[in-house]
Amino acid sequence: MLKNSGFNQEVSKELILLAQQGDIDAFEQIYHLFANASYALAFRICNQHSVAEDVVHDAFIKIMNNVSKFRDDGSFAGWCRRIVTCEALDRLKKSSRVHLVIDEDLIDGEELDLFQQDWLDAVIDIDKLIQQLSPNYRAIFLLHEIEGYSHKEIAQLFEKSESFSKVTLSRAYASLKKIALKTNQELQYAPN
Amino acid sequence: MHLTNEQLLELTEEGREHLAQCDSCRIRAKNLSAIRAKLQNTAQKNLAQPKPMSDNWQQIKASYQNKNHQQQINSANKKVTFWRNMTVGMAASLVLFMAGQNYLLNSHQQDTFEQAVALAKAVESNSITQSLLVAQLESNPLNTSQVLSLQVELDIIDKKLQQAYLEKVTSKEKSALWQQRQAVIQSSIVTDSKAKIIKI
Repeated sequence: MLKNSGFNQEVSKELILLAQQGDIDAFEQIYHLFANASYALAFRICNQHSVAEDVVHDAFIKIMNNVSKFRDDGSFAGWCRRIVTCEALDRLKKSSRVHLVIDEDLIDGEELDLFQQDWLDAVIDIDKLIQQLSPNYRAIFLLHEIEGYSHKEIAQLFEKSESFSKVTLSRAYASLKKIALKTNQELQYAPN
Repeated sequence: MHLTNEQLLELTEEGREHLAQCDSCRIRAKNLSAIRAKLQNTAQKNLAQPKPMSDNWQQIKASYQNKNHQQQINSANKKVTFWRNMTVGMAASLVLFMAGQNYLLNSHQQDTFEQAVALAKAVESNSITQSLLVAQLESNPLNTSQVLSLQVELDIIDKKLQQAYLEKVTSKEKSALWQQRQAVIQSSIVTDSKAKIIKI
């Protein structure tokens, strides 16, 4: 991952302090630092531009209203990212009524040859592929594989067990593989 | 025995040891790494693409300021309610004081003269302390939680006082309630040393 992009950027203590004092210019700087990363994260989870914009809007209002509660015991960027993630997941749950499959259901039917080949190799538009995943598969897949959330953190966000997160990730990969192979097949047989 | 997909996705020390010995799982792990690298690459490309998000700042700023403004109005409304309650409390105190004086004249046979005088003094010093609080609040307003807590405490004591006068309890008991009321008001008055601490 790039060190000085998105939520990897560090925010100076002075800027956080100014924001905590209600300085609107400090908020504007923070917004410009994380707006694109927040939008990208929200869009990946919600899969709709207008919803992602709303998520960023509401998440930043929350960041501004709660910045005084931020304690210097973790990364500020991480704190902001968590607010954006929670906001996006809330929208996702409300809009699509995400079906959180119970752990026992997920354990059945595991595909053992999931990584026997690099099935993503021939895919041109990976984003389009990910967008075809079901909402909860997509959310957990992106949070773990792109955003770097641990299974423990995902479990907290979804108020489920760690095993729920682990199994859903595995199933999301299985689903992604299926979509990728199908897309590749369609491309092969498509008329020139 | 091979690693499951889940074990491959979240490699532990044991899993790594297995990979060192198993060609089949090593190939699977290599494929997974290649898939992950492509996913990260796509994510970084997306991040680098400009989004129309900078235009939205003005909208967010307006919403934030509007919300803050609304909160200030609500807070001001609460203060107005507090002042109204304080005025009502003041009027109630005066009525109780007058009633107390009247009762003092009629019931001095029941209480000793000293107790009656002590009651009158307690009522009077209560009024003085309340005036001090009112004067202080103009220059140094309390925060919402302090206002609410003071209101609740005064309401409780005022109800007890009303009950005491209705039940015609002794002047000693009434004096105790008035003193309690004064102590509550007193605790909300910022002394010079307290004010300095608050400023620090």
